[in-house]
Amino acid sequence: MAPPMTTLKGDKFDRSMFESVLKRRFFFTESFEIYRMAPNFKGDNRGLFDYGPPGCALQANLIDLWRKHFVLEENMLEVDCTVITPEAVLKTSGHVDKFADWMCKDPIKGDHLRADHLVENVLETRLAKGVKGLGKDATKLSEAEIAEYNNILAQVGLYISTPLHSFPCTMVRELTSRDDRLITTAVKSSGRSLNG
Amino acid sequence: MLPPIPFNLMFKSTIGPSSAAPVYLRPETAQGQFLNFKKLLDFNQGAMPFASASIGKSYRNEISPRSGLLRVREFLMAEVEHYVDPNNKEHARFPEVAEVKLPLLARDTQLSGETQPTVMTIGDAVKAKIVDNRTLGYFLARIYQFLLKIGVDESKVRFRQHLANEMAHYATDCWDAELLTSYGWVECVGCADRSAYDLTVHTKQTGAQLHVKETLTQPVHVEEWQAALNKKLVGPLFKKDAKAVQAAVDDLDQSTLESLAAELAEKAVISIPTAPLGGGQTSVELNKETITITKQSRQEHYREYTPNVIEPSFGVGRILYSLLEQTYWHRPQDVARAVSYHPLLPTFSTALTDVSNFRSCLFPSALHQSRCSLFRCQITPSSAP
Repeated sequence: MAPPMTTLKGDKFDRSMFESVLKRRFFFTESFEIYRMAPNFKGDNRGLFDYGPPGCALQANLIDLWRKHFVLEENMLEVDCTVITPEAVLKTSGHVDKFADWMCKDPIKGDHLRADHLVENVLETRLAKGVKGLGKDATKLSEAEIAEYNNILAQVGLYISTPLHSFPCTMVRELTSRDDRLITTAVKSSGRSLNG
Repeated sequence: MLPPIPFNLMFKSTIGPSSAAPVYLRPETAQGQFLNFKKLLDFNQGAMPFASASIGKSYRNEISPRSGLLRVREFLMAEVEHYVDPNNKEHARFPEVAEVKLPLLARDTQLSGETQPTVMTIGDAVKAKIVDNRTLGYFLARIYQFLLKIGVDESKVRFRQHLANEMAHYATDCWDAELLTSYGWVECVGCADRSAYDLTVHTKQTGAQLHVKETLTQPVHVEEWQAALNKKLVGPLFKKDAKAVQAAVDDLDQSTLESLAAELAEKAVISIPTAPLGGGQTSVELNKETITITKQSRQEHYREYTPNVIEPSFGVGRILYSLLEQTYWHRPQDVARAVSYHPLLPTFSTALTDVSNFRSCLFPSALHQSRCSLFRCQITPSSAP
């Protein structure tokens, strides 16, 4: 577990307060916000953000410094290539076959969940309640089960970016086939490496 | 819930009016750099090692992004691809950084259940083989220096080595620079050794020679086994399959050739595995008339190799966000009015606070002022301390 975040002066860090400053001062905003807020909007704008003037200034300064620190200092050869890439290139590089995360679909609600988030949600809920199963079928967790769950939770974030064959599908199947309509929204972040 | 299925994270589209030409939005800037390797090497007049760099948007179709600016579907990356001789991963400027102390959380430490990084000089880390080689070590130190320069809190950064099952399909070693945020430790820079994977597969696929030809100062005397097919006999014998037979013979390595040579001398006939042929068989028999295997010696004046790639990869948005979290504070009695200052952003600090009251917060030290000038930011008379 990571230590709790503190402010620059060592006080407790309050993220909602912090984010409200960033949004109020227009460091960033979610993209297409007025459409998302509009009635009957159907679509997904999650994971898309626009930077406002201070955000842009900060980003420009950061890029400027990066270029001086790396490209100019080391005589690196800078290139600017296209975003649009033919399938053949990414087939050869392995991305078409291997650049994937495991996902589970909830057929009733139509939701899609990352498999590792699902495992986390289910196990964390079970640990919090100390039982598995629902209603009168619920059974108390044994010491061994608690230890096993903690062990899985410590590692599950890593599985998502591993070669696909090593993802513990059986465990997910076991978890998803029974009780658990307990899927809540997780906030935990984990996932694929930047290096792509 | 249905059983888990793999979901590819690339955005797919088509190019031009034909739907038969699928394209993707790139998931990393690296591939464009690799494809231009030959031109970059020529531009560099054939000198090795060297690096290319690129700054640009990349795209990943995350299944359910939840962590605000940390997990986004469109993001700015800054990537370096440093090409290096696989037999010599020294770095000329390593001595300049050898004494830089880094907080390292190595693979073995993690496996033993520890989460406390060990602070040591990068020189010692490479000597102790915790960091594989000097080029990788050099870049880890340079990344650390960069992060401190932009204002990252020294106590809120660590370098974590990937576990073996965590690495991407091409990587042989990988270290992440992680910054502490309210979401926990966040990977902001990844520094991977991609080996020769990408340049090799693109060479194989396209036939373009994405490798380095190095002139040897001392020519090397090479002895090796060579197999030659008697084309006059092989052509009529195998007809359409002749090409596949030739390819199978070309694929044989030195130790196999040596044993085959002995077998041919003894039994006068050998069997060689091939790709599936017209008749369905997957091997052919060759006799002394159709194939000769001999040891030949020659002088080599060049050495050809595919470089290994060390890749520091920066998630710009993640660095920005983590930096803002780490430089944020507020006065004890005044929680609603947040104060944040930032070395990259003095002119915009006024957006966050009332300058006349908080001058000392904005520019607290001489060091900070020198940073401001370094970043060509103006300290206006009214806001200067």
